[in-house]
Amino acid sequence: MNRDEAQFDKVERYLRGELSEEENLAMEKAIAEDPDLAEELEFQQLELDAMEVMLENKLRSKMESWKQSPTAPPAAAKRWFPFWVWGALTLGGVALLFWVFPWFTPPQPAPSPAPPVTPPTEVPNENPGTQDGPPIADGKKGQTDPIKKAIQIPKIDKEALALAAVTYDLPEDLKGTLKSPEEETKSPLDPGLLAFSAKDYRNAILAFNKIERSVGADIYLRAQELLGHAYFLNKQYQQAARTFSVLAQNQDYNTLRQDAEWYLILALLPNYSKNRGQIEQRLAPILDPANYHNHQKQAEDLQKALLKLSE
Amino acid sequence: MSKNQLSDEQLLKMITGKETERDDAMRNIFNSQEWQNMVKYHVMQNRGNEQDGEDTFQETMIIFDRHLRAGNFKGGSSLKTYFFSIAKQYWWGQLRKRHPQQEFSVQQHDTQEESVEVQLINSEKKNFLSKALEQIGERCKSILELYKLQYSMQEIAEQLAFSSADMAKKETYRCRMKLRDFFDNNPEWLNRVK
Repeated sequence: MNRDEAQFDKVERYLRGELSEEENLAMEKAIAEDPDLAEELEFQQLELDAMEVMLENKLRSKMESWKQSPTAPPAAAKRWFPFWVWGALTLGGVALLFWVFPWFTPPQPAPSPAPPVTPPTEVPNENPGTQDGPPIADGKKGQTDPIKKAIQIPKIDKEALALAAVTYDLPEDLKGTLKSPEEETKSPLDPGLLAFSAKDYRNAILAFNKIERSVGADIYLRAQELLGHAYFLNKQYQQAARTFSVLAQNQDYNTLRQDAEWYLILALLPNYSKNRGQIEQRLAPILDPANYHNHQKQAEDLQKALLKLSE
Repeated sequence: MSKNQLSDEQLLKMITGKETERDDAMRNIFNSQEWQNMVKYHVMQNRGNEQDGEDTFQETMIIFDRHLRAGNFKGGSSLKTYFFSIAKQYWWGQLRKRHPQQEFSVQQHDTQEESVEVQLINSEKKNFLSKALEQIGERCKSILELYKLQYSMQEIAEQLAFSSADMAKKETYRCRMKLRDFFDNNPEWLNRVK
């Protein structure tokens, strides 16, 4: 394509509405008479549309993250909630729990200070065949536990959880012993990778949660990806869904986004009765052959399994 | 907006300004219960549910941002009213899509509203454009993003460490050519986005 820079600038000014009325008219006349110029205009408009889409995607991604932390002050990405406050809140919460339910036994004390990594109560048990609920201690026998009653899990959710467990497969690059991207060097990812490789997902979650945006986009995104998987493998499906949901908005890395879209669906599965609409909505673009999605085949299998589940 | 009350003038300046200021302003609006409730209430009063209200609010944020950057807001109303006009237009558009057999008319909220044309880039085109952008590399994307935000070439040069404004201009041009080359080499993609 033969392009002239002066013409390029003029078309650009026309598209941006920066020409005078007289210049505008002249340009419109020239476009009507010159098919090459008309084509040039079409291309430049397309480029501007692409840039607009880029800004739109970025804003969407930001809105998603603002949803996660709506109370944080504006432009305070680096001013995270101090860890000591999390620690104090966690300790306070545990103390309150002991005071209200003296029989309560925490699943496993997490090192403090810690971000909130307690498994959510609405998450079904990993083994769908058993009747055990989430880790809440039994009260006296013969009495109906109001908490247990409130968190009864629908049968379809148990089946969907089993389906999620069967379908879930770690991405190839996360299998085996993990190493930081730069061999022989220290990376902020190291503590989390070590814990993740040892299947110590609780500590992996703590470590990846400590990694902030300021370390750089690549490391931060890798940490978030690993965090999503650590949550999933620690059966904290709701947190996993939240993490993958943010990554799924990322328009900068195609593979990362597509992976996140897929794992988000798996993380939504354990709460199928509630998330059904969202799962169907999110499966549709993955199933669409026009999108060449990396997980299209797996999505097709999942859709078949879900159809059976609903029968 | 109750907290950090920003005047319309300040908001407008921030949204059309530098990236961090834009973020502050957009986040301020996004977190405003007043603006959110205004949109949600309207949607729920007009055959929508809460989720529709939330979706409409977010889509309105996108369109509002684009209109302001494009200089379409002429100051004939408050920004809040302008935002609400966009939300209403958008929601009526959604209703028309959902119920094509029925007729809907946009009720005017008040006489001070500006007429807002809500044009959307269709989702297939967006999808293909997003994927095409992935082919030009992160550096080029950063350049084009600043360019679209109306940063001057000098500002782009400073932000992205180019030796001069002239160099930034050349790089911007080169990045656009990269995108164009991609479409030239993939005419089937071009047909999808044209």
